Amino acid sequence: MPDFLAQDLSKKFERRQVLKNLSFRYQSREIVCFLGASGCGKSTLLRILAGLEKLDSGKLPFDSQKQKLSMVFQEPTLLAWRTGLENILLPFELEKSRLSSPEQQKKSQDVLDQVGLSASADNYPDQMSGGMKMRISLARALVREPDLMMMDEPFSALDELTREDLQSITRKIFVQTEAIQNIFFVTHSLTEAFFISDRVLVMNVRGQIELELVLNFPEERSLEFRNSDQYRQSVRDSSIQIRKILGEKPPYL
Amino acid sequence: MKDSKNLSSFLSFAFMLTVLFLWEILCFTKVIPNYLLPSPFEILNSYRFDFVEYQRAFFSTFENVLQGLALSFVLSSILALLFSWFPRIKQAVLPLCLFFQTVPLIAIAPLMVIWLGFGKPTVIASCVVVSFFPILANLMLGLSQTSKSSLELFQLYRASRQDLLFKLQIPSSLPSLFAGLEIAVGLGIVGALVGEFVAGGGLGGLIDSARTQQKIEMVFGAVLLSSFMGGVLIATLHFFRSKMVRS
Repeated sequence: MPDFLAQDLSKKFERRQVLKNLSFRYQSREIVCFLGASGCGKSTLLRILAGLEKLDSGKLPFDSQKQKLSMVFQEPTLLAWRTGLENILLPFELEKSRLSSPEQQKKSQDVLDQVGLSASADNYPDQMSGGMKMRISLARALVREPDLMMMDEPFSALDELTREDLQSITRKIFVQTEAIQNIFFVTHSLTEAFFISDRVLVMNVRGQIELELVLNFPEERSLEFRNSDQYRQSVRDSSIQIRKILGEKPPYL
Repeated sequence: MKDSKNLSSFLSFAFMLTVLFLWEILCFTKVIPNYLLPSPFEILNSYRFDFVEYQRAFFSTFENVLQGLALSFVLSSILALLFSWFPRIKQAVLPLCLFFQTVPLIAIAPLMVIWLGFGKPTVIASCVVVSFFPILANLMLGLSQTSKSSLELFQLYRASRQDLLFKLQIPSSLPSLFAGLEIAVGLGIVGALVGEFVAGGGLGGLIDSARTQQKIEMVFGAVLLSSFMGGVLIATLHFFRSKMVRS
């Protein structure tokens, strides 16, 4: 697998230096997780990768403007006046897709099946729970088969069971969809980072990567994996070091 | 839930009937002289005797209000979009709009008669003057309140300016637009009536002429009709809002 290098990324907002010479490596077909405390600049980094913010200096391994990108925000960001299916069709409409309408419908139905919401295609967002809305948001990001997918703490507002369910779905879809080269995932949850990703990059408050962990876990990760000794042990082993970087108190694991 | 709604409807209906009954009794027993307050029965009778006059006045005002509101809607929509696209235009023009809003309609109504003459143009202009700003202000608010993440989503999919406007900004500003229209309807009717006081015609003209002829039951009749007009327009807006706006 080729290595990609993001080099010396720096970003300043007025007087606040958010990212300072941040560099990291990753490989194709990896879920790369940025883990860090609130305000460490991980969301800014994701927005830079998505092309929503400009870099002050540094070099990315890809041109955001030329990549097929999708993003899942912290909020589901659904359009309230569109049904679930119509929300999923939105990327096709905006990018003036060459796919015919039946093809677009089919792809949308497929991703709805993948996120387990095919029965709610015609419901409006105000008829859905938080978890259902996030599934639609995930389906919308997946429908155009992006090269790169950005996920900014997408499951942080959900209850634990829904969160775990969506983590499994995201992992499963990534493994099954060859077209997605990478997912960049931002979280402040240690367990989420270890469950979902192939590479965990821990950011310190100075906006730099302080620790890099490459996880040698199986590609497919089920409920059994979540309860496995391998997963639990890895989380436990790394937690003290990571929590120290995050500036948190000793773990209770 | 449904029982509680039925009970509250029943209570408000019963209260209204009680007030009407007491009103009728007070007038019938001459506790309040009928040159000050006509009885509900007298007002109903006046509708019967002067039906044609009421009908003509009602539809004249109704037509003027609708035309005035439509003009306000078009003007304020164009301005709100221009303000949203070109902040420099907003900085230049908005202070003038705000100043215009502070001028009392009653003070400039005679001027409008001088400029636009007696009749329809003055009435429509009066309606526009008071109903324009609430629509503009609410539409501007709606357009500026489009969520940042939705805008970024559209940016990410490289949406055209047209798509941004028609698929995001306008639909997401509909709740604010309807709130503005509801305010504008009430004010627009007031504006049209003030216009009719000075320019003649419609319910405003009818109120004015009935007052000079001491036909107080006709004044009340016209006032109640203007309230009814407001109710009809607000109910129509609620209907469209329920069809077009989702929370």
